[in-house]
Amino acid sequence: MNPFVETIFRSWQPDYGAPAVLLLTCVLYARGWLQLRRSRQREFGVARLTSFLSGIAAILLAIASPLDAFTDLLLTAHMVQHLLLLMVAPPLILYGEPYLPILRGLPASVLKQGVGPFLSSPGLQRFGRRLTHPLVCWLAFTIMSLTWHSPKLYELALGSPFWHEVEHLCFLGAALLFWWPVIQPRPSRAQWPRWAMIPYLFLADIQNTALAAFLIFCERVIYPSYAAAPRLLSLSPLEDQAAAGAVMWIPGSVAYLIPIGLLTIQALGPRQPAVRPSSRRAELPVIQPKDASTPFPAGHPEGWDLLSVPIVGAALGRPRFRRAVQSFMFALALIIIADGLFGPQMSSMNLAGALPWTHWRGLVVISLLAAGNFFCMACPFTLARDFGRRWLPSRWHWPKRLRSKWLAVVLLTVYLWAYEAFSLWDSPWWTAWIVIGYFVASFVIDGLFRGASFCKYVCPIGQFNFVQSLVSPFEVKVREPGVCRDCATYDCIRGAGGRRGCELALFQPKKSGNLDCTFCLDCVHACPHQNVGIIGVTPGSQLTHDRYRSALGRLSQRMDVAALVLLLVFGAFANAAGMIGPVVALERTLQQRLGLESLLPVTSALFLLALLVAPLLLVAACGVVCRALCGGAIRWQELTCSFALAFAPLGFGMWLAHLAYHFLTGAPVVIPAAQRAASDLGSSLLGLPNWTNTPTLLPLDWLPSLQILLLDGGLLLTLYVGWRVARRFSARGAGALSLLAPWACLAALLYATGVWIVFQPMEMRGPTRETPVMQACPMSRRTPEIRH
Amino acid sequence: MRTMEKDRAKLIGRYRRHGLLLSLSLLALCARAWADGGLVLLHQSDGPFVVTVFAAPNPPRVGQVDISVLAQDRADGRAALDGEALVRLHSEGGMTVVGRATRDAARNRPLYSVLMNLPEAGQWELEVTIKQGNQGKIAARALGQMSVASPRPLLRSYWRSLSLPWVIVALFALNQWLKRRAASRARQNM
Repeated sequence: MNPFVETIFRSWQPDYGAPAVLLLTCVLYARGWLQLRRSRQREFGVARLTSFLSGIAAILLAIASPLDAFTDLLLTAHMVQHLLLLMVAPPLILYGEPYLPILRGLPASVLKQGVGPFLSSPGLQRFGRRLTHPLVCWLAFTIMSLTWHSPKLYELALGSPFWHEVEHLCFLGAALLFWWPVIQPRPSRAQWPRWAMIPYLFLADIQNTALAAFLIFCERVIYPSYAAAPRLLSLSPLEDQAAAGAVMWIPGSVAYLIPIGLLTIQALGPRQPAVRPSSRRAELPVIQPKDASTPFPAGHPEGWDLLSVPIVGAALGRPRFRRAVQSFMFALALIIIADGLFGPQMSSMNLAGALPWTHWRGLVVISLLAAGNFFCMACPFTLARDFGRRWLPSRWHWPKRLRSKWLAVVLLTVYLWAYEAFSLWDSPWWTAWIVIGYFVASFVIDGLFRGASFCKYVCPIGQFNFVQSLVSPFEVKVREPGVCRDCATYDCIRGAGGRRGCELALFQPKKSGNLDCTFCLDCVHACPHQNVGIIGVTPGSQLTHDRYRSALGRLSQRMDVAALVLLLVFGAFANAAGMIGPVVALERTLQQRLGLESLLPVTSALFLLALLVAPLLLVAACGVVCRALCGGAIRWQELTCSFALAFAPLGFGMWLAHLAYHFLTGAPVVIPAAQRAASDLGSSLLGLPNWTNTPTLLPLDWLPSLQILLLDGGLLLTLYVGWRVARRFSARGAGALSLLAPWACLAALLYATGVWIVFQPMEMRGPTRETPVMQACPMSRRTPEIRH
Repeated sequence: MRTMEKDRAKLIGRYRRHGLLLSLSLLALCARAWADGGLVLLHQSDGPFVVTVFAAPNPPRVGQVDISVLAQDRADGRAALDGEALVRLHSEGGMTVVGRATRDAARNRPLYSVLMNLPEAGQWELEVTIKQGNQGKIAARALGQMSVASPRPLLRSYWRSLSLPWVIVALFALNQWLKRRAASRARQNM
């Protein structure tokens, strides 16, 4: 092939957004089409599917192929692109009758609760009927076509990717409307007689021909950008313009003439059934929920069980699997201790700097988002616990006064403060000692006290995982509640046949949510009825109710749990803020003004202000306002405890945005760090470390958008949970809204803080902030090529 | 037994679908890359080539700017595909940014493209050198000016992600209102 032609064919657009959306549409269509085909095979044949997919392919060809890459240089290429969007893709898509399949392809709850009210709204039905009226459709198409081909708007689209996208969306939308009465996809009904579509198309063809003729016969270049563009082919700008006009004229007219011909044959044919125009009562092309053709499925599918998944389920279901994972983590912990104590004290070069702070934290939050608290399952410290039980008496009960989350709140505060104040992430030596301390604490506490007291009341990492897993999509819970009603042995909590029951005292039939659940799966192995699984749940759904929970009681009465959640929520923002330029600059300014030698007092004061004082004041104020709004009918404590839980998703969003950022930008540094550790031991098996070029897992430009979207998700879930909590207290919508208002304001404030943090340049405290990792992952974009 | 297999098959199907949906949603979140092309900065002839330099976004702003170079044979207008383009920008403040434009980095493959990070606004001198052959002999050089505008406000750059929650909140409010209205109508009809 000619190298130039080959080059052109390689010019595919590396943009994933629009193709991903189109692909998602195809998945929904195919899913719905498969379901509809079972009952209505004749109506939803393979031709419909093929047509729809071809239409989507035509859009992809228009926006992602080399055509799009050359639209700035060649008007002909641009016109072919428009032709695909106006004449090819829409009729193919509409012939696929996408309405019912796409609706049917949506998850049942989304369709019923989310889309259903819109579809059955009389106002929107009226709007849809008017929008699909042939006159409106024709006018929309013609106006859109003429307007966007005017030099001013065309130049605007050429000069800005955003306006170019808007232009394409307008074309596609108007073309879908235009072809709607011609194709008349089910379940819509014709508003004009069928024969009227012949003049409808004919008039559109005249408009198209006039525009094409103008392009062909005009003696000057209409669009200045093409006059200035270099000529890739031998065509002059005027010849290119004429060629574009020809493309518009001939294939464009053919696109109108084919349906005109078909409609004429249909109208003149002897067997053509008379199609009466519908009266004013014509049905809208929307779904009637009570209609026989309703796409709503009969019932909800039950939550699915991860343990039923082949391979994964089989592995998780074996007690040895957990032991193997724990052993692996234990080995990693030993490596971290060894490298932390004896390796170089530069965090990015040391496995104790990279593995716990970049990889482990990042993977923990990602796994919490995608699955659940699997890192507690793989916890290596619980191995030490088992040794402790063998060698120490393990006979006392955990002191009654400490049976709450208050100790964990204090320990977490100390940990988060120490992290900021002493830049723990930057000290492999301290990291190693923290790991050792963890092993010792677990060994001693669980060696002396019964049950999993360390996990339940002490471990700060466990508390973090418990709270964040409230938003996870999986929960260890009973498969069939009826089975538990007949159970008299309670093996899930007591244990049986040498197998442990739940050491955190979570009785499965009364357990709700992931709080205090370490995913150890002891209950799964102990249940003689195999009635406990890892069941898929709607994230955050367990935060909305206030039923009694095993070992926890009602969360609306648990001030300690609310404090724990709020600490982790505000801790997420404080922890992320600690690494950004403006905060570090503020700390240094305060240090200078106060004449302090060390940064420690300033860091500690600011951090404790953000972690303790601010939440205390803000949450207390919200509780007071909320109580006043409900007329003092509900106790402040109950309101505050209930609404505090709603903030867990927002806090999780911030932790995700922060820790996933470190993971995605800094993960590859583990390779040279491991190579360095191996070469220190005299092994050249892994090769020599290369510190100069550590890539990121995602392009840096994508990260702010991803981080904001994670915060968006957190905010939305927080508002939704808050709304559901408010509805618990007030059956009236307006009453619930006023109860929610102060908490929603607080959530919006935290969200705005999170967005501000994301946009700030990153600057880390500590002696090694110019390390290779940090150079590879600044919050702002890289500027490695600048030379002064 | 058959039911279990059916359930399992159903489950795997759901996993696949959810996995696919999740991956697609994640892909959809990805930010759009700058397109090659955009504003024509230079169009000069030197040696055997006609050199055209484009910049995107239009106007170029502080931050990342896509600089694309098209080198065409002066005789027949064919794009030079075997060369290399070196882009050098020099600001009024004495700052120099250098980048090697390649065809692999370009979306539009006959062009040589490079993403450059411009740290300050103002007038920048632009120098593009086209090298050809194994020894990287300089074949053409083009010189010009480029005005770099101040950075785009972050809110304007990320307005899509930032407006998402408020759009969804508005839709949720509308959804609740429609539900309530439908319920009250149903009560009236009873």
